Amino acid sequence: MDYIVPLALMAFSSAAALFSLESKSLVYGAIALAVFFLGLSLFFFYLDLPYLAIFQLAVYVGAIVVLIMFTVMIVGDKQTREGRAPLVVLGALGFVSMITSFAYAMEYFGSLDLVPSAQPFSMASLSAAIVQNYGAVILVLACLLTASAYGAIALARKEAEET
Amino acid sequence: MNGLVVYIAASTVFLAIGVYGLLSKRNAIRIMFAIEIIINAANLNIAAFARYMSYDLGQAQAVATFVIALAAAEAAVGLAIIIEVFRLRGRVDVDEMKEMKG
Repeated sequence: MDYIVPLALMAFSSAAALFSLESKSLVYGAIALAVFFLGLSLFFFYLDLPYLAIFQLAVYVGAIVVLIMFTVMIVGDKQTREGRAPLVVLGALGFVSMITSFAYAMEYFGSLDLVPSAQPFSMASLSAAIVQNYGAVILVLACLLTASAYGAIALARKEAEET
Repeated sequence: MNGLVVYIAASTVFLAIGVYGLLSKRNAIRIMFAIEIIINAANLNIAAFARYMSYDLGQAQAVATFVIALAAAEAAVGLAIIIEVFRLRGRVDVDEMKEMKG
């Protein structure tokens, strides 16, 4: 019973991820990607990590997918071309090698006697971790986000200056 | 078998799908999709290991939050570059982006 929900979520999310890559239309691909992100947030809810789940929904579904939709709107939906055969073969080989490495990882993790910790979700411990343990990381991240926003605006303004 | 195995399996499948997309697609937007799928596979691993290996959940969520923020920054710059390439070339085929080749 413990495995049914994660397995169902895995099937749902994997189907959405595959459809996002293989759909003919980029718009449907972006919608499938949003469904994949939703599946991941359900995984986080099931692991009793509600903050992470809501953050995932807000940033990925609320921001990144919308950004991708706007890009598809600008670039157009007819940009898709079939991948070249050698690259498709290489991609399939990458897929198979990942699954094989998973089989080896299972030999170790499958033999461990693990049960999920009963540690409840605590906003206080999350805040303490962010402020006390990762204060410097937050500052670096803030600089990085500012730089990326500035870079994206600079790229977007280029055409406005030219015209 | 324990519950962690299912999460590792899910994470591996997402990683495999992402690697497949990264290697086989030529459309830059599809490649962005593949990168996002790979990043999410890593995040699922962080969350599952924190829950099953009894790590501090606050720290695990903080690290996963940083990964999501970095992914958002990467997506913003990546999509801006894709739009710029489209303005210059009228296509977003990565095979045609040869200006930065060594």
